[in-house]
Amino acid sequence: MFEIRPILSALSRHKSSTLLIVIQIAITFAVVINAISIIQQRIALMNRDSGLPEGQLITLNVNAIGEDYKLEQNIRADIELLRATPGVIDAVAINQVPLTGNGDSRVIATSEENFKNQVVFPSGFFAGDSHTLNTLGVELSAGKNYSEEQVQYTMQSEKTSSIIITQSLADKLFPDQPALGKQVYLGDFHATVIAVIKKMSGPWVHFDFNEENVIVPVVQLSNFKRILIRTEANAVSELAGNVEKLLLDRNPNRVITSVRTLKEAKSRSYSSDNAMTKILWVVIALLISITALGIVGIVSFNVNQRTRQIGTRRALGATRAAIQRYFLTENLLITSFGLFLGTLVAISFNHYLVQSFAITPFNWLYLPAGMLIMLCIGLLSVWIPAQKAASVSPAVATQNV
Amino acid sequence: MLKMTNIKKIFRTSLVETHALRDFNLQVDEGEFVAVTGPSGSGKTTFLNITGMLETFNSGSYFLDGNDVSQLNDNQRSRLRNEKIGFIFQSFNLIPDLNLFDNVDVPLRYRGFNARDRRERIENALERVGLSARLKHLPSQLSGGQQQRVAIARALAGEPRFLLADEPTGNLDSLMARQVMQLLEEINQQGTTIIMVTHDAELARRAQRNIHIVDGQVSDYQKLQPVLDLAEA
Repeated sequence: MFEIRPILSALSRHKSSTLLIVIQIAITFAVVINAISIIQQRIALMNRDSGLPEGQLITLNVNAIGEDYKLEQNIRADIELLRATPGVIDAVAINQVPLTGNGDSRVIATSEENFKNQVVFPSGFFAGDSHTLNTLGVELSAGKNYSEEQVQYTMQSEKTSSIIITQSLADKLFPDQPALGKQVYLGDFHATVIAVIKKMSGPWVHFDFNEENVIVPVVQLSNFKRILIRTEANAVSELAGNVEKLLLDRNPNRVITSVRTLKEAKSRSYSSDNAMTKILWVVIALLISITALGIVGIVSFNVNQRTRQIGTRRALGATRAAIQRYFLTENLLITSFGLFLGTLVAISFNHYLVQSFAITPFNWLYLPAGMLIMLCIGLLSVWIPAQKAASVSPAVATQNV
Repeated sequence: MLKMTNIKKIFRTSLVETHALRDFNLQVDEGEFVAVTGPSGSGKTTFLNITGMLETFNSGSYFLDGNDVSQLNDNQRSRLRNEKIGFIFQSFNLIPDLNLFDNVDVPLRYRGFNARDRRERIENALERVGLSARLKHLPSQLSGGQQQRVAIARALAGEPRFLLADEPTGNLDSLMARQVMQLLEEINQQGTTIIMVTHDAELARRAQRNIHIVDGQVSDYQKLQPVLDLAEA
């Protein structure tokens, strides 16, 4: 019914054109599978849970002007003003803001000896007052927040006796044991873990240690200060528009820059991923279009070349459906060869990408899903030329060339 | 067995209307060998196409083996053609990419025979035309006469009631033509009805009955000799 053997026999006599389209399908399949895998990984990265109420956070930078600018006084006054502003849940002067791509990091160890032996773990280093946890909107899985009395306002070192760490860092430092109450070493001071945060992203979205972070009860006094504001869900846009004026009205002797919602800041951090995703979608669309057009072209050419042969088949008893089925089957076989070869190429290409660029191997389910989609595209591409073939009159058989 | 009554076939373009067949009447009985002659453009090929259900007609009635052809749709005509009619074309119309076995297999696949039945029929048909040893050869590896014999095997494999031959020796030299004609005569003697369109007066002479078509109508139902006289004149 499907004339598979005669079709294979006929294809074997047109090796070049068949091989070209098989290779085209194979390359398209290999690239599309890997591109979709990369897109999926990028989307998963962009959509991963940061542990933060991203839609409620606003970040800004305060750049102090003048030598007589009183840092601690202004920081306290700004923060008090913001906390008293309607729509604001909390605010904090902080050294860095999650997901923004800028900040400070430290290596951390479980002891001074381990530190010397380089048994260390990099982590994002957050410093802020006792409102830091509430402003960040993170949840604790163990322990308690530090009190305001423990907070140091300092222009010197951030040495402190207590520290809050994320669960991800706790799992690395103290696998299979609770981190609460344990001592950690940060290169120049020891600190006791007083609380563990369930989940919290750090500033660098592409770093492996993005979820390994510490918070210390220190407000660093510097001319450049970041402020993080947590608002009611419906107040974020309005406050983002007003906050600069609010702060400058209180004291105009500074420059307020980079007023952004955390969503905007996050979007900037992921701009390369967004661009990559869009470029890959375009590449996929182009490759599939070119392959589909290639199939349309080669089948149309074959139909034109074989008009007399099609007429003869019709004269010998082929129905229109049988002619259509012939071309669909032929295409199905070519596409299947292409997909078989493409699977080998896709796996090899993915292996190369994993080795060279440390990406995650693609999910094997992509292969059958991709094959199904490519088969459908192949069949759709051949549908119109096959219809054209089916419309060839059997009377063509008796026309003498 | 085959009866055409007042068949009309008109080809229309935006400028011209051509009456290919007009009030065409013909009856062919089982087992006959009929030669159809006529000048170029007389309607011979149109007659053959309509007889073989390769084309439809505008009016009239056509019964083939009890089937009213005018009432059949395209699929039904394809099936009836596959079952009842074997075709032999002037240019052989073998499929160049398929070997002899697969070429003869083409109409049998459309008939729905199983693989074993098809193999038996193909081998028998090719043996009947003396080519059973060349099953795996391609058409391009055969002479013209051998290719036409393959085409005859393909036409015979399904054991049709009718064989329609369109200038079957038109592309063959005289020796090959005689061999092919001899084969057709043997097939006819075994009971298959043959309708053969030809320009060749010598071939027409060998048929039992000759039909001469002029301007889309049967001009004569004469026996062979008077037709040949006309052709020679």
